[in-house]
Amino acid sequence: MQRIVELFLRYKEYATALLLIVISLLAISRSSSSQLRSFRTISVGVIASVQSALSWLPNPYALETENHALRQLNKDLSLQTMQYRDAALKVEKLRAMLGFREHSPMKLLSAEVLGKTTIQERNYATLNVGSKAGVKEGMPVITERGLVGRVTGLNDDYSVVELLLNRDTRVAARTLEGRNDGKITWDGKGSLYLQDIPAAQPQKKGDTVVTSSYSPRYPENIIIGIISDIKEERGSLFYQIRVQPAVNFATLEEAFVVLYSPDQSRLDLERKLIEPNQTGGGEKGR
Amino acid sequence: MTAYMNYLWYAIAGLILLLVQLNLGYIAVESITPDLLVILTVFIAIREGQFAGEIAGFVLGLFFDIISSDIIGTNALSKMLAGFVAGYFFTEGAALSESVGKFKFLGVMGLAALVHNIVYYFFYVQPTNLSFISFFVSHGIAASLYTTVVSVIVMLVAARKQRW
Repeated sequence: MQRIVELFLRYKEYATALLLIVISLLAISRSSSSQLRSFRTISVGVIASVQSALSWLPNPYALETENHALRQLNKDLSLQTMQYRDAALKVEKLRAMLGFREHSPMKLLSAEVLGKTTIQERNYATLNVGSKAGVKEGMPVITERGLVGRVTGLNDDYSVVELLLNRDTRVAARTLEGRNDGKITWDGKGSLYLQDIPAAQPQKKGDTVVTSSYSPRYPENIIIGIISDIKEERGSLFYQIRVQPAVNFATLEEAFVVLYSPDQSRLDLERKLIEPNQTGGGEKGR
Repeated sequence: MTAYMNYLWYAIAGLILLLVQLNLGYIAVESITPDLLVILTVFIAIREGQFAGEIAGFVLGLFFDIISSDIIGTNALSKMLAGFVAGYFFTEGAALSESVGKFKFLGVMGLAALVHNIVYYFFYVQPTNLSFISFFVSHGIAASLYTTVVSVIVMLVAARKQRW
């Protein structure tokens, strides 16, 4: 026995290490036992109360972590708010379009604007509807606010719309209150102009300009815009009337194709009789 | 100073360091903190011998396992082995400035911390899908270095102590 004790004392470091390794491994394997759990609960409670008593000490690390988390949360919430705001605007817009569609006397086909240019000399928009949906070349395109343009090209699934903001634009129009007929053109910079209104007839700023029945290409009374400026040029028989378009082309995202085909016999007759004698001033190709 | 007084001081230091170790977020670098308990274990092993070192490592580790909600036994085993390894560098009767106040202490500390982290992270990654090698390289080595760097303070203080 004494020899064993001597042996142990001689190699006590190794024997103890071995014993402690065994105890540690046993503890690791039984780490989740209920006895250990309850013991741990008590010790964690004691430590927590000590930490709580010392919680008045400032902890820059915790503050930094909290700050970081709050900044992240702030960023996420801002993004969410932005998305909600965007969704709310879209809902409002769609609701207005839906109401317009339901109450419009015209047959409308809703379409999404897939792409557009608004800063060129000839501006176009591409819609996600084509001949399969019943769209035909020449059909007017509108929104609940007013006239957008007309379809100038299409295939089965898509159509290209020539916007009002186009150097080729010539739309027969009239003022709603003044009942004066003229034609709408675009100056290539940003303004629409109502031309051919005689300077002898009084005009009013704020009057609404709509499509007139003089053009077989468009149904009458589609809003084009509002008179924003009237100039009387010396030596000219006509006003220079600037029209603010009713449609905001920069934010154009949805539109309606008016399923309207012009009276072909009227077009043919007008083309046959009027156009050869015209020296400009009427609608170009419309 | 008697040997018993020494052990009393080690116990007080151990209790304080246990609490400090739980709140080391202040000096965490990329969530890695120095292991003050390993420093104390190595200190005890170098000053008092291998036997005292491994017992100190085991007890400190076990307490830390309990209060830190870690798997019980992992810190006990790893710190005990750190003390066991450090104990090989014990020189009986050496002054504090000789045993701890030299650069050799940093080497022992680095080795013990490395052994500690190998064992600790081996058990740490077991319940997860983490690769032991990659986790040890990214965390274990950095933690060992950090512990060694912090132990420089102990070495510098010990180097100035002529008698203890």
